[in-house]
Amino acid sequence: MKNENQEIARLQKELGDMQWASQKTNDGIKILYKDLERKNEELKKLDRLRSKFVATVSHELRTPLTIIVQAIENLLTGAFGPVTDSQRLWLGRINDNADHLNGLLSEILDLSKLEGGQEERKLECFDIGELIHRSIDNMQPLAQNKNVALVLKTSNKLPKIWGSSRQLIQVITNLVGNALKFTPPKGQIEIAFENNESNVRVSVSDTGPGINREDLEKIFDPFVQSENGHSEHGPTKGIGLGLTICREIMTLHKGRIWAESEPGRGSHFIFEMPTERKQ
Amino acid sequence: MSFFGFGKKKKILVVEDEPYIAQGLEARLQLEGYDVITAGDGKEGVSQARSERPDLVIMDLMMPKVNGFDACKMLKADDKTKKIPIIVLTAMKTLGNTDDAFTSGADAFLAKPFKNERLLEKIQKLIDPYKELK
Amino acid sequence: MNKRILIIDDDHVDQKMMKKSLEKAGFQIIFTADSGEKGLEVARREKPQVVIVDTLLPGMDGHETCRQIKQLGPDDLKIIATTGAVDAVDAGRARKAGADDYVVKTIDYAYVIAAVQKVINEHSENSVEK
Repeated sequence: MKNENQEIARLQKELGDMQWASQKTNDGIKILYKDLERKNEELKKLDRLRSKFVATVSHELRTPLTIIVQAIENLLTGAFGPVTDSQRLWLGRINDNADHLNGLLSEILDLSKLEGGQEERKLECFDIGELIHRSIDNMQPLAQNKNVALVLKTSNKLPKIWGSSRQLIQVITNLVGNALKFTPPKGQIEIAFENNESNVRVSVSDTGPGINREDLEKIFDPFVQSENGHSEHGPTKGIGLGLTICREIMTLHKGRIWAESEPGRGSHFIFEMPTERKQ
Repeated sequence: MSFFGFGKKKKILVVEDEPYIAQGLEARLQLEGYDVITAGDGKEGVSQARSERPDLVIMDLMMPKVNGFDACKMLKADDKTKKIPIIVLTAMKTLGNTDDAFTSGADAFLAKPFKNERLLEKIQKLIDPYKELK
Repeated sequence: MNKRILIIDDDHVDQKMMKKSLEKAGFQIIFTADSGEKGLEVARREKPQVVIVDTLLPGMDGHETCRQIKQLGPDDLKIIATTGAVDAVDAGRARKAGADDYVVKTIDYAYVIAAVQKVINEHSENSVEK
């Protein structure tokens, strides 16, 4: 009799413990839900602040830049007095640097939005081969201006990619643009792509001065100066953020980007992404 | 100056709150042979467009009082002014902020800072197809 | 308020933030330890009235720590088991180990503080202030 009572008491305690644990777990879940909601609101608020910041900075910096660019152009028309050759030269330098500032500003804002992670990307399934063709065609006039050959080596039909075509265009334009900056006249830039079932690989190769081994990784960091570089503006002021942005875009597409080069033997910039099927 | 002399000079309304940018535009456009009137904010811009009936409006998107986006919509919604082509100037050319410019109803947009050549090309396309660019 | 509280948690951020929140809530005497073993030492020495112990600890786990601290007594010692994630099995173990409550750690630790305040009231009702 005593044993039965003991057993009943034990089971009742067991039941009580389980009910307690169950109750506490339910309470905990409700709490976590509320906490998650709150964290979400925080993130949304931060994102709104970031968007506002980007818009404000953009406006505040671009207004004086506009005035500078406009003033120079107006001066150069001669409408405010004749312009001597050396004045023209220096005005040209101011203009170039205003352009440079504007480029940097665009890149900083782009990077800021990319890192914010809330960048509005129109995701779609597209043909990367066709996209590269179009981008290269658009850049031919620029290449011709610099007397550099822009060659596209196609292979079999490329599979589709799921992602942002606009961002991919930015990557290609950036890589080819960099190659154009560093390839001397009569040089060549070659874009090649290859793929297997699961990945697409695109390479942009130039016949420029190449990159030092220790810089190969660093060039993807923001605002790194490459001492080995030489553009028509003289020793490179630094590549800015272009490659950093390319890397961010590749990460977003679950791909990667890297550089291979030997000083004096040109450079190869390669990016690789999973295809639509693998994604 | 227009070789073919098709009637009077074309009139352009510049709606821009930054005085130096407005001045710069005025000077360059006059050099190209256009008549220029200016407005310092969206509200003034809309009323000038209604009373002066310019051949073209160049409008900054971000302005105090009534901003360019709303002013543009107002002009396009009004029978009296909806046929006037509008070029909007925007500071926001980054990955995809040109959307505002498109949805405003404008006929063309230009990102600041812009080259005057680009602006003149767009103006030419919209109102002066027979003009020879200097 | 002069209730003595001991926090046993190996996450230093959690430790620091919980201490701050408790101080804000008016508690003045707060001890901390970052492992079960160290926690026991502090408990023996300082005799807290409330112990907050995380169920996930390096070395001696949270539940064992709870059991041993309970043995130290006194009888009206209150123990609050905390966790970063809810788990019914974990809750059951905490109960069996003698915990008086099982609370999840949120970004502001509000629920931990609330649990402490609740057991403090029970503690005050059941014992005489020394």
